[in-house]
Amino acid sequence: MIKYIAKRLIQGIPVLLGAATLVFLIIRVAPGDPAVAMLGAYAPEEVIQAYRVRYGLDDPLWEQYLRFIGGLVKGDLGKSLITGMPVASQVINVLPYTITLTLAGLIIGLFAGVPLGIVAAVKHGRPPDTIMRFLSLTGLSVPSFYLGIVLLYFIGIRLRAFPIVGAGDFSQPLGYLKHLFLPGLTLGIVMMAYVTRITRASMLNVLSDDYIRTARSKGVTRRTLLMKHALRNALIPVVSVTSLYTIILMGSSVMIEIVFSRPGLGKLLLQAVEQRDYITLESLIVLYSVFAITINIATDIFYAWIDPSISYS
Amino acid sequence: MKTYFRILACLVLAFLSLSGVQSASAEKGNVLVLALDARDLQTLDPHMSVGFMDRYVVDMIYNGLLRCQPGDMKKIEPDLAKSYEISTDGKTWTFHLRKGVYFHPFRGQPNGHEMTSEDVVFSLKRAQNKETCAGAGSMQFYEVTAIDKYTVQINMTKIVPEPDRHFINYPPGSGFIVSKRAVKTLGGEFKNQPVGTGPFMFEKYRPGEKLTLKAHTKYFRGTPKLGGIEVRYMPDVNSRIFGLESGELHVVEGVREEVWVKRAEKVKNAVVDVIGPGEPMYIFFNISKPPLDDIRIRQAIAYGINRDTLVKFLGSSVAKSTCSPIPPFLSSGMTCEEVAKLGLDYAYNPEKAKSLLQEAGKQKGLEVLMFVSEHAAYLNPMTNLKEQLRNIGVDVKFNVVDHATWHKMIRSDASQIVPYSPLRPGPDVYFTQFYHSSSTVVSGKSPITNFSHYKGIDEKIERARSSVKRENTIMNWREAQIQILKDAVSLPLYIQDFVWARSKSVDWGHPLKWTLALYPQVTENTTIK
Repeated sequence: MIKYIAKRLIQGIPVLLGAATLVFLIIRVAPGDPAVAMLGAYAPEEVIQAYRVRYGLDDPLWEQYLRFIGGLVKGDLGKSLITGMPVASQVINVLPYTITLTLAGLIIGLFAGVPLGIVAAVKHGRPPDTIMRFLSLTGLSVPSFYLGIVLLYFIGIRLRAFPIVGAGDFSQPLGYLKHLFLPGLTLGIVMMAYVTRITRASMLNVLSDDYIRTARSKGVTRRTLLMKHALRNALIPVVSVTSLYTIILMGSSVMIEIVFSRPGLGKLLLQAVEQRDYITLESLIVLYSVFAITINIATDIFYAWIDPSISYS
Repeated sequence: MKTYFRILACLVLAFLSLSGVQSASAEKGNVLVLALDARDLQTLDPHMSVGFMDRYVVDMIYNGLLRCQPGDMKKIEPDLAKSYEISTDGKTWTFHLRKGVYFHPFRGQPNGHEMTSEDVVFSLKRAQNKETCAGAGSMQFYEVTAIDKYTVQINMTKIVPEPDRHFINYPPGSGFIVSKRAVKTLGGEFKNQPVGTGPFMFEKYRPGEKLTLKAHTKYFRGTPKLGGIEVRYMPDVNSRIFGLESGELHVVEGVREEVWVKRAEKVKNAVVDVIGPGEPMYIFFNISKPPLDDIRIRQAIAYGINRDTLVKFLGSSVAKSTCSPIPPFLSSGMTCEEVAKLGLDYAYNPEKAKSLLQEAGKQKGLEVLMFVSEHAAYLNPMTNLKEQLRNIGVDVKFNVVDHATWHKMIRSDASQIVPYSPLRPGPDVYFTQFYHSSSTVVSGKSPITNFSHYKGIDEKIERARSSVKRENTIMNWREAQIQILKDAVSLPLYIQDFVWARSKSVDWGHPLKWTLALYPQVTENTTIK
């Protein structure tokens, strides 16, 4: 297992390098001058040239590339073109908010979605199944920002049950959790919709297998049949969806961060786009690539754990 | 499975038992939570703060030699100076500083230090340096020396009208007094770690999220009644109003439109403050390059804009038309009727606009570039203006950026037309900053905000400054405005009031008449009931 983990980690390095190179090329080589994109076509030439010199845009491409990769290896994500602050420090400031929000959505989505999916599969064709399918379809259809606004209005404003503005402080964990509840619930409901559907489908598939019928006929209890025999196999597609959706969840967090006025990586990314801060944008895209690759590696490791028969040799 | 759901139900109930939102007052104690329509601060160096989101905050942190009485910009009173004398020829001003005024603590000075003439001299010289002050161009009229520890003398090298208005705590530049030691110690960090003498001092800053100030217990006017202020950066207008409704925010920056005022007035336990004199909105044409170097095109654009439509869009309770480069509430400012009598009001006339474009060879239309701030006070009316100009064949291409970036872009001369909404303490500041050639962006001797690259009234500005008689000054200012309008280098559009909403529990501590500070002002007397 350790060899497998090490192998996956090493395999991740060229993937990351490839992703970083692609990001670099897209931004630098794509038609259009970044300086002109930033300042506008009407800016005086001396201002544009000064901008190019200040940010090394007039250096040879290979030099810019080596500087970029070298910086990444050292953990230097460059300095924001707008604030002048190191991008790394901006990321460190907001990353915990995005991670906790994503985790909250993930936990709610999984802990509610998997059991509901199991119930829907077990009660297949009966009212509980119909209700679950209807609710999960609704959860998939409603945009997350709209759901967020609805929850914000009814739970936050009308009931005043949970705060709706800001993220609270990590130094006050209870307050922080209160601030996290509604945004986390928003993402969790959407995640739950996906997980319920895939769990249900996967469970139905597994429950019709021969070995399940054999176990049932041998008198295995329902609980053991579901939790020990069926679920473990049914979870494999659920893990795939979860890992894919975690990446999407991180991206979706930008709308939730705006609705609930929370700081976060998504908001920083959106800001970088709006401010044409291409250094911050470049670094954040690479960071998202790191997350995606890490989550994929973690998923592969998890696969190997839940089903030792899986091998990639 | 049943056990699982029982456990889940218990967890949910446990969490719900922790629910319940306390109001901002209950949660934060005696700390005022104030939400701004901004993504982040740009700088808290008062000599460089040009963005409104910074100007509100520097007002809470810094003082000047003089100040406008809170809530009343017409009354100037001593601030850090306890008194001052002016020589009979008006050229020498002697300020006697208050004793026992303390700067906020900073690195190396955990108890702060006393403000003396050394700090005042340093600050006023700093305000004259274009590297350290965004408004340096309008401060080139004096020499300052320290007579003793608590006395400062300012010798006017040029006569300027209303010089006292240059020594108030009004950005950018002007009379903000900073700690010489703090600037030298903190260097580049000074912009995010301000050190002033004001009622509130910097505590901590979380970029893009919030800035916390705490009460300066050694404030010379008395310990503030508030324990502190939490400034939240919240560019989404709905989030701000929701926060006010839920009680998590005490004060929110509003949208300067009647529609928003009516909405905010419906919020339970909230009050909307609509405050004048408001900010005039102009558009400035860059006349140094085609196509706007052609006066016919500039005039065509002017005739193609209907001020009444803009005012109707914003709401007549918060906006009114303006036609003169100096707003009518300042000396020499003219009303629209007076400008119309001169035939220079550019009253809406789309046919004339099209005919001018045809004369200029642009009968097929033209494109112009405009950088616009995403702030509602700019984006909404400029979108309306863009649609108006489309009707005469002028396609205005927008580059929408956040407010701080917009300030940088327009000062880099990146926009062909610049919408700008300045409130300045007096006509000389308007003329100097927006129309004197030395203030031309990028290429001027002391670049400030002459976006037009205009050189046509330098002499009139200088003459107005050097006039001894007030009526001559005003006459020169009038002539300068008439020339600006004739040359169509800028177009005055409307004046828009400031709109803020607050919880009924907030008492500003002073009446709100007219504010130069762009917001109702938080002072040592502001309280939360």
